Amino acid sequence: MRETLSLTVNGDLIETSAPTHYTLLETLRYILGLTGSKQGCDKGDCGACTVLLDGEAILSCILPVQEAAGRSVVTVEGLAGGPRPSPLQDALDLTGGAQCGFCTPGILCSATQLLAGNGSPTRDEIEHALSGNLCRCTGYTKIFEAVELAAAACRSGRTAGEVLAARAEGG
Amino acid sequence: MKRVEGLSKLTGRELYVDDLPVDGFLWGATVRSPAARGRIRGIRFDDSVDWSEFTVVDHRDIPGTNAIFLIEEDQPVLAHGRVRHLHEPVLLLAHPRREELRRAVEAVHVDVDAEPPVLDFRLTPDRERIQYGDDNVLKRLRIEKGEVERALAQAPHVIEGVYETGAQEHVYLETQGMLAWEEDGVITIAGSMQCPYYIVEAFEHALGRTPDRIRIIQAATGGGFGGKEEFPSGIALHAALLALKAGRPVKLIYDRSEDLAVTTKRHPSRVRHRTGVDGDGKLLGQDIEVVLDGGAYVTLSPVVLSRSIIHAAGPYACDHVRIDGRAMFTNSPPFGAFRGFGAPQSLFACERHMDRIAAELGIDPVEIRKINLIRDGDSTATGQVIADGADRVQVLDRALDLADYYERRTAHAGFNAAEPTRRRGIGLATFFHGAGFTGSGELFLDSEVHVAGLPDGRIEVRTANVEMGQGTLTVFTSLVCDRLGVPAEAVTIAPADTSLVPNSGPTVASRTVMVVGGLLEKASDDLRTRTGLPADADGRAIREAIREWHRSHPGEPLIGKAKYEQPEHIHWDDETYRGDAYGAYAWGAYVADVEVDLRTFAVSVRDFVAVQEVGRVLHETLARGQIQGGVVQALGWALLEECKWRDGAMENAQLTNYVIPTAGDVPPIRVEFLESPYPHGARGAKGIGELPFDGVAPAVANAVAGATGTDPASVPLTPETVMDLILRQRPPAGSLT
Amino acid sequence: MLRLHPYEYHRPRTVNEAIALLAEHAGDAMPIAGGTDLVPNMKHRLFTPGHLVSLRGIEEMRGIGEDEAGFTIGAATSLDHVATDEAIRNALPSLARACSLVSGPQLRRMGTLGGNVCLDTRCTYYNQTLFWRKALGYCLKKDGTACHVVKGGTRCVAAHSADAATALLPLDAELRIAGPEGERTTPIGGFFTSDGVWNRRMSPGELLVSIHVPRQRAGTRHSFQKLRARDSIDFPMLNLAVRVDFEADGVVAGVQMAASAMGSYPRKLGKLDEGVAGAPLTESVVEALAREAFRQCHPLTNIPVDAEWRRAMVPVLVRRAMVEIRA
Repeated sequence: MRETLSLTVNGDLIETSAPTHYTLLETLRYILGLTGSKQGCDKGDCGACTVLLDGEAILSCILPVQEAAGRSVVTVEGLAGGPRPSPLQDALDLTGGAQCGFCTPGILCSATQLLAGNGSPTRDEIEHALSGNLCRCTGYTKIFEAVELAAAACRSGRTAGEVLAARAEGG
Repeated sequence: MKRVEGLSKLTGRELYVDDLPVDGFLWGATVRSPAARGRIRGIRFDDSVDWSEFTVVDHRDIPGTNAIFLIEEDQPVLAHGRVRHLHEPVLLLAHPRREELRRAVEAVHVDVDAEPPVLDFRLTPDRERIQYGDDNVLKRLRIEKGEVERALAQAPHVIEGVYETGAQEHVYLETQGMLAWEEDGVITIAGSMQCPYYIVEAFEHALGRTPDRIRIIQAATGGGFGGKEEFPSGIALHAALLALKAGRPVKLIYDRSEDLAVTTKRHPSRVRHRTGVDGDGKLLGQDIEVVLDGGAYVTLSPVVLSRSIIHAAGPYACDHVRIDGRAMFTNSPPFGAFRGFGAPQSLFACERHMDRIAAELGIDPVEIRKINLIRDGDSTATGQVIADGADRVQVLDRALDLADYYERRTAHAGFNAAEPTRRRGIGLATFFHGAGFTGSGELFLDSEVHVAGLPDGRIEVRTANVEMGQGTLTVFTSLVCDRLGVPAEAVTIAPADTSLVPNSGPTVASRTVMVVGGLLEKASDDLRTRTGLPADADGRAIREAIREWHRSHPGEPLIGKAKYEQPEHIHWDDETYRGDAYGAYAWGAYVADVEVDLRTFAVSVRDFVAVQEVGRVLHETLARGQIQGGVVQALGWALLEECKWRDGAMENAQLTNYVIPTAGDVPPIRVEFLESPYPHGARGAKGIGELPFDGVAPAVANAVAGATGTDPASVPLTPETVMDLILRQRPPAGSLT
Repeated sequence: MLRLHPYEYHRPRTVNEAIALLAEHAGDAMPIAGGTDLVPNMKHRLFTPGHLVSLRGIEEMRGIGEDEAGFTIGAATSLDHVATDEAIRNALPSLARACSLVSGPQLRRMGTLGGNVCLDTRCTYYNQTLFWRKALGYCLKKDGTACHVVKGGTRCVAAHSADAATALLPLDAELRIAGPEGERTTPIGGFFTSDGVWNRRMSPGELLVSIHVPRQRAGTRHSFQKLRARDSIDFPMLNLAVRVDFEADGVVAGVQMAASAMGSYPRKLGKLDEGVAGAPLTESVVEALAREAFRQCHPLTNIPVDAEWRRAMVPVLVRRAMVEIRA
């Protein structure tokens, strides 16, 4: 059984025909070829499948695809919104917050929502926002640093690299 | 230098095995044993399924030897006749649609006449449970130095202890997975792995093929931690057998429950110490017994046991040492490689025992370590004389300093006296980790690397060592850039594809940077020499010389090569277990500050200090990432992570109830490196990947001991364990009963 | 990858349409709101309905309404919405707290308050893959006849594991339930049964539409406490909701407690008023209450966490709740 659905994915309005029992994650990965969002645990325990649905970070591995119909989905592939990485991607690159990279797409989506609503998150707020995204490589510290760096970059209108350089110079 | 593949990972472009585009493939699945031990009476296929749609593979489809080649050839690719652990692979299925496949797996019934299994490695098995040799011992090893019995008989104090650690699952975020297809007579694998050439060897034996008809490609790998060292050989063989029979590509990806239930885990351990000391705490004799649960097949247990016993006496000088090691057969899925490789288990015991000795003698835990820590000129348990210029006491002092150890200890005493329901403690561990393969292992590996000069002047690094998050690609790039004086844009790393790269050995044992990185420096020199340039040639000249060489040698490859040569100072005797067990050791001192809630018995880590001497830090960001990540993974082992077993099956085989630390569970971790360059490592580097795992659990347990006045002898220190410790120590408070 | 079985997905716009769909496919249909409990359970083949009736498009089941009598919360309102709603946080902090402690951030944006009230019970021997359950010979709750928690047991004791539902008990919440026969309202106190297989007094053709929480008296204080292994994600190993009614002069008028993650329903503790009513909430009163709660609570081995330790935590949670209430 298939059903034709229309939804916006990374800014593009698309029509897709997915089996009715697919999750949003399966549709993204196996119908639309957007393999950036990952399957880590199958059932909502790890956060690797996190995407933004109308701006809210949710778990795409337990969302029936029909619930995304008519709504806007942003995945890791759509976070940059252009040829340049987003400030958050840039910051994770600089701090070394991505290691094996498997949890990274989900982390990016959760952190993107956080920063959209909070330009100066505290360490506690960052920990809380990311507490549904498991990472086994980094011990989280560099991810926290990246979110703080991205927030500082956005606040100052500079790139993450410029913020780091200014810090190194004591400014 | 930023991570070479960083942006690819941050934009979702990095392709892991389940992301690889492939047409017309089948999904594979595994039918497993329903019993921990028994004879296979038969296999029944339900009529409800149209089996003509399926590719079905069993042991008869294995063209070569039905064994996963490793140290021994006892583990079958697919069980035949009998099963030795629950979930052992028996049969393979493939079908274009996963829904049908799932139903088909349920429609195969493996009938087993069950026999009594061995499920506890600590018990002496009765006769009907003997399944390996005449005593179920998979491997026995012994280290002897001096005369331990005499030393213990003469020692003023002999202190004993028994320590246990449980299994731990890697929880790499990407589960195990392989894609297999045959192309022009070559069986090809792309998948998640640490050791491409291990799979080549496994294929040679089980598929009866020569290496030229085997091609193994590492796809982007979502974490390994040892879990993708030996285990992938089996799943790769399964995918390959299905692909060969089906004549189509086959993708075999484990879901998380399957991965948790059937893949390797850290070896459970029991370690017994009997230690002679004088009144100052000076070690006079160490009698140690290390027993590991090996599981149902030999796999890597002999080498895990080897590393475990070599580290069992700790980083201390003692003239009389005996270490007996045994890896035991049980009817559990085989335990395997996991960051630290046996050392975390024996170092947990050693460091907990040092604190117990200190407590019994009334000595400061810092002082007992200081008087026993190896000084240059002292020797380890295997008789290896350490003279690396590293100052182990300085490492400890730096950690104490950074942690404000003494101030905190005083503050905690005040806090604990005033506070009715909380107890604070600060604990430490001093430890070491031998980098690279044990003994003559590196010689046996015979690693080779290539650094090629391409016609356009670019330089390509060719090794079989993989990126799995630790930063291999980045460090390799930076090493070659530095050696040749060329910019990063000029260097590319060839994919870890056995048709393109030489066998530079497995990506394990903290050897990648130290050993393989060192070879890359030599191969870079060799490349430069082949272009005819001297050692002081700059990068621009080298790149121009490469282009020039190609103009005069059209169509020929220009490859700088290097092969491993054992440094002359290394002498090891595998028979007596005497000599230089490792080319170099990294040294660490970790300090944990904890608070124990006397109401919930929960332990929280307030602060963590990790100081280590690692030769030389090649990439500050990556190195810190290794330490921070290792510390948190080990905190999971120390406090949270517990495999619960029921009749040989993991009962909590889900991330719902096998829980690992979240972003909300990590303390501040302060990392500092001391450097004493190792002349035979790349730019002076020693291995660091595994080191951080070793010192965490004992530091935390020692802190809990200090906080509560108890004597923990096992991890994980879950609240229920801590409750037992505390209530055993004093009668339960009235309000609890 | 664990897959879902094939099903037809319905997206009604009204409660009546949803009821009609459930009736049309009776026996083979289930409602789905956030799906955070049902979807994993379907992946484990614990439920395989041919029809799913989505409640997310039903406007009348969403949102938080407030009037003089109290709050009416649509059953399909997300847990995150309830947890972060200013009015709820001020007037019903224990409910906001309970909702904020369910699982992790992403799941709370999907999961609903109604879904939490109707959460399926959980058990070590039930929340497993089909392969695992088959190897065990299944269990009372699903496909089998034996209970692995209580040997020889004939009644399923899977653990009620919902946090918000426990918090709602001492709040005297009322549930508005719609069905083919019309609507009814039932106090949450009478909603749960001791049958772990299906622990709700609600037929499969009915829908929980909204939850009404009456305005609390001025002298009433609430607290919600949860025990879990980590700072996020985990189901409760034990939870406790406490209500203390104070007289105007500060003495205790009455105490109510509900505890869960023990047996198959949130357990309302009895006889707590004895010797407490009319007294101030002193240390010794709190200790007496903690002892009494301990006496009445008996966690089972239905989840893979030591039952003895969980029981020892009952008085701990009571004390913590009382510290909060007295503050």
